[in-house]
Amino acid sequence: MFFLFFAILICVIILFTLIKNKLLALKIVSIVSLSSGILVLFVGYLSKIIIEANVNVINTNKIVNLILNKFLISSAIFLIISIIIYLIYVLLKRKKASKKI
Amino acid sequence: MNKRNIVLVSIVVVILIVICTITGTYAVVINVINENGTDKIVNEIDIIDLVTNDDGTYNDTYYSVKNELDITESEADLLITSIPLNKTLDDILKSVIEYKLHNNNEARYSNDELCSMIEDAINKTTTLSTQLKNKVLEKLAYYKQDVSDYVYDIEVVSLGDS
Repeated sequence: MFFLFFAILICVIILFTLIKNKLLALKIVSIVSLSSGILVLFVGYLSKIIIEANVNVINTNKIVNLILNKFLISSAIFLIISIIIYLIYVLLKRKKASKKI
Repeated sequence: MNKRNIVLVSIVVVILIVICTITGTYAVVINVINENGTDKIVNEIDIIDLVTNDDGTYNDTYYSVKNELDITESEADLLITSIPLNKTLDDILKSVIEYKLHNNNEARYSNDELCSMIEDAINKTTTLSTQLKNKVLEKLAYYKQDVSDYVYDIEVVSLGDS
């Protein structure tokens, strides 16, 4: 898990190094976080389909909801991070624009 | 940004999305394992889940049991909602998981032990009439020799391992 966090950190640093316009980099990180949130949600629904396809003899609703809720929380974290970063981007952009005026 | 930079940024963005998605999914897996996921899932399974389909309608198991015991729908409901019976189901399912997934032979209940557990649960359920209790206990005695084999023949698959 720590390795994955470390890899994310490294990728973000590389991204900010490659892009000279830091505001644009911030916007890209926000879009990346949004895309990841949506993809995690997709993986959650995929796991729901796999469970329902494999278990036919009993009612799987409670089991599926238990697992799907965890994916929803994971996805929500990415979406919240995405919104926060996007808000920071908008604020910094406005600040930059007001400075120019 | 020059062309080379655009390509590099695109590659980093794709890698970042993949790593973030893996992290999100892995976090769920770690969370399920830490919470002893199998036990939690087994705790969620009640008798009602064994006798209904995903759309909530009764399945073949419900009608087989109802016909075998020769009981009415209201009597079947009493059995399905019995708290001691649901508790016994949890214990038996945990034993099945332990025996089938973790290869723990000591976790397997014998015919006598299983029948005794079910008998206790039936007797503890105050909502059941004496007539209904006797019907269930009669059938339990009839199938006593096969009950352990039947329970432990249930197919148990861990989707993570398949």
